[in-house]
Amino acid sequence: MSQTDKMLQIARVDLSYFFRTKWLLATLIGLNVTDMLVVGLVYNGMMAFNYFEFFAPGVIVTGLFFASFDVGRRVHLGLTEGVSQYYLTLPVSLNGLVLAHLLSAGFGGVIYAGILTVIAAAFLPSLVALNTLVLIPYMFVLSMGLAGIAAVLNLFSKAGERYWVFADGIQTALVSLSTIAYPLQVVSKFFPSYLLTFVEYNPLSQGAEALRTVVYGTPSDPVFNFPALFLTSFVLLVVGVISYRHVFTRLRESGRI
Amino acid sequence: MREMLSLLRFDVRETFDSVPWTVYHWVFFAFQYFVYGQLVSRLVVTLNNYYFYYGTGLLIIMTFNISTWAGRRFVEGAHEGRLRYLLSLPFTRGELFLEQVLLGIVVNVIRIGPPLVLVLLIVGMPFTSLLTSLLVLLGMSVGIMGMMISLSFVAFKSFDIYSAIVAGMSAVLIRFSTVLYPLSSMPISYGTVSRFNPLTYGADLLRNALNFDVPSLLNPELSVVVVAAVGVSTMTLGMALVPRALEGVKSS
Amino acid sequence: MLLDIAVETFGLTKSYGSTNALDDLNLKVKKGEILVLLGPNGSGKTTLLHLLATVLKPTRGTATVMGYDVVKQSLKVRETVGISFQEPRGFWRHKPYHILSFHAGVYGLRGDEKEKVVDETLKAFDLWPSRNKRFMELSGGQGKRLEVAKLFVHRPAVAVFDEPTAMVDLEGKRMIWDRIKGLRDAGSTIIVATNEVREAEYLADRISIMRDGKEVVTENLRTLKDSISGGDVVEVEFSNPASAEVLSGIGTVPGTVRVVQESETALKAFVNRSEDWLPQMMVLVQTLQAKVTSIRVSEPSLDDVFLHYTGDVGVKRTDA
Repeated sequence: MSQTDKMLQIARVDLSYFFRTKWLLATLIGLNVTDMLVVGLVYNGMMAFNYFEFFAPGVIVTGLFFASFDVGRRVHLGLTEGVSQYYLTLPVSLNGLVLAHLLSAGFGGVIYAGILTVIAAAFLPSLVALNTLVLIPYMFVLSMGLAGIAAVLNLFSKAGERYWVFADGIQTALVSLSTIAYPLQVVSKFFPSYLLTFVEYNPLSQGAEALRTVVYGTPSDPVFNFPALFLTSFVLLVVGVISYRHVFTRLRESGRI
Repeated sequence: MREMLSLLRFDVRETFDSVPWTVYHWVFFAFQYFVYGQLVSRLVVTLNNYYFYYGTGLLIIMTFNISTWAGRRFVEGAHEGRLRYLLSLPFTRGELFLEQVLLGIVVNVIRIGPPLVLVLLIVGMPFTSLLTSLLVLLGMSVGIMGMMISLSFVAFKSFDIYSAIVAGMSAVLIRFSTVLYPLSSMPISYGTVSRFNPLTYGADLLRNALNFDVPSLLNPELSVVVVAAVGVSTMTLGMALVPRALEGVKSS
Repeated sequence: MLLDIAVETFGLTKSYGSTNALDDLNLKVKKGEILVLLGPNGSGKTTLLHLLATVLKPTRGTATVMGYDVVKQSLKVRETVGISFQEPRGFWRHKPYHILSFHAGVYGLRGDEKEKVVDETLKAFDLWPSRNKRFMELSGGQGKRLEVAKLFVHRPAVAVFDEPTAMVDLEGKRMIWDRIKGLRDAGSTIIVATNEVREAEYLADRISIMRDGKEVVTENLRTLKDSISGGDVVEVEFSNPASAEVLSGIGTVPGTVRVVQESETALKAFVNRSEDWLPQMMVLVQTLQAKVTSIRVSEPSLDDVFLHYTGDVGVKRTDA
């Protein structure tokens, strides 16, 4: 049995843990669906442009972000409850274990975002469903990249409570400082230039703009391009690999998280 | 009663020790109010001063989240074994219930107080508004806590289902209400649903208390009645259901 | 490395800051035996098991498992060794079936074979009725049985168990012990860490007593018991009051540590190796024409041995 097979088995069991956490799924679906179909629709009537069309891809990317970021919660629980120690006893290499977690994050993000896309498609006549298929590989890479942020969080927040606080804080900050809920033109009038650059290259902005461009078949904003999305995600993914390698090596060497 | 108060002191001190969460609530407020609220209010064209509208809504959201946490904490205690210990202490079930509610109120004041002051300062409201609005928020808080605690009978069967219900309900209650947008801006169907949501009455009452001029705000007298009725009824329900459920609580 | 050695440690040390959880340990475990690590809390048993399972990395020294180095060939070691943790380590939201199925899958079992092994293991460990409960809903004993059962799914060449019957009821303990013995009989080498003396007594081919991260002694049970000076207690009853001559004579029998007169007609002798002492004592008694009506021999329990090696008790170890 190859290392790849073993890695995929760990990725699968890790991913299934995400979908078995009913309260989490209820939270995510409750938030994302009501954001899209209630907040998006009501704001649509309060704004001078088609906000629903603008916002729906943003919600899909938020869903992708939350779903892929959940790997951080799973690893944190694994570290505190001892499942990570169990993984360390299995005949899989350290790289295999690290990639298994990041792969499960990638799949989790894409599957969850896919569900949201299907829901959005029922309400968006302009959505070119087939176009979204083109995006799957990019969304997968983006999802694994976003998991890299969770890995960094696992690396630095050892104590129980701190992890949850930082995780919520990072999610709030990244979503607020992106073009998920407002166009870049509005942001540019409000933020100083350095913050604007952050918003532009925030992977959530890149993901949302990618969806807007591909889904509606028209370019939505000049800042978006596939190489930038790919590059940002890839860098984050590498950071994620290094972080998780460090987390598990530290567990082996010091016996502590 | 003295024993109950010493438990309250212990729990409050524990909350003070939990500085990261308190700071998180303030950071959450800062991002939502100074970034999200600012930017979205620039996009809204149908409502004057949406920024203020959003700020008050945000306070309601925070009250909701913190009160939900307080209710959940009680139920979590049952599953982590803490509640069994509390049941063995020398105070009545009613006192225990009261302690949880008082704790929720204290935590709300600590975590919402500073953001509330900030919003009032920004919109230039007098100090008297602080007391009125705090009263409205705490009134709502009691209702929300009562609701979460009353639902605990579900949690004693399955904590997962309880968490899922609470999570789903939180999303729906906030969005199908006037917390983020007035009734006049909603599609008719959403507006109809929102009229049956106690959060709508709480949010509109808060805006009334702050003299926010929105024509579609619900009648303040009616809002007072609804907020008070929800508080009293959920608490009464909780006090009736929980002691019975407590003694049969299953651990998992 | 000797061919009959399954596990060997070479100056194995694990430090946490200035504390040595394991201190320069040199231990050998023979192939096909059950070695029980017995020691008080904090003696380094769990640390040793974690090092052998590559969950932890040694600070100094190393160990080999079936010839593979735990530092340099950790992946090979993990293919060879299986560990059952002290605290059950399961996926909280998965059911016992899924947990065992995953474990079997990672160790290469597939399809019908996997299903058969998992079903059999669930039944063997009395987990069949709770197979549809989630891990988080299992009782302490059920969780522990599931943790132990993992090793019976892939039957590793070296199986290490950390307190395998903690939280398990009496019936369950016996069942687990018999299964562990069965695993040894099927060819696995077993290491069990415990602080339960009865468990050690039931399972061990050899016992290694540990204290403060060091191996104090490793022997089979018989030798350990014999190693305690005055550990065997012989109670002798006479038909008539024992004379001073008899009492002093018994005190001179080789192997006698102490003689206590219990009553006019009874005495208690604390001796080394009662099987050697008794014939000599009988010869002496006959010579002195005393009539013995009953003799009762009790050997030291493993509790005594354990306390002797790990605590401060009045008996001394014989150097012979």
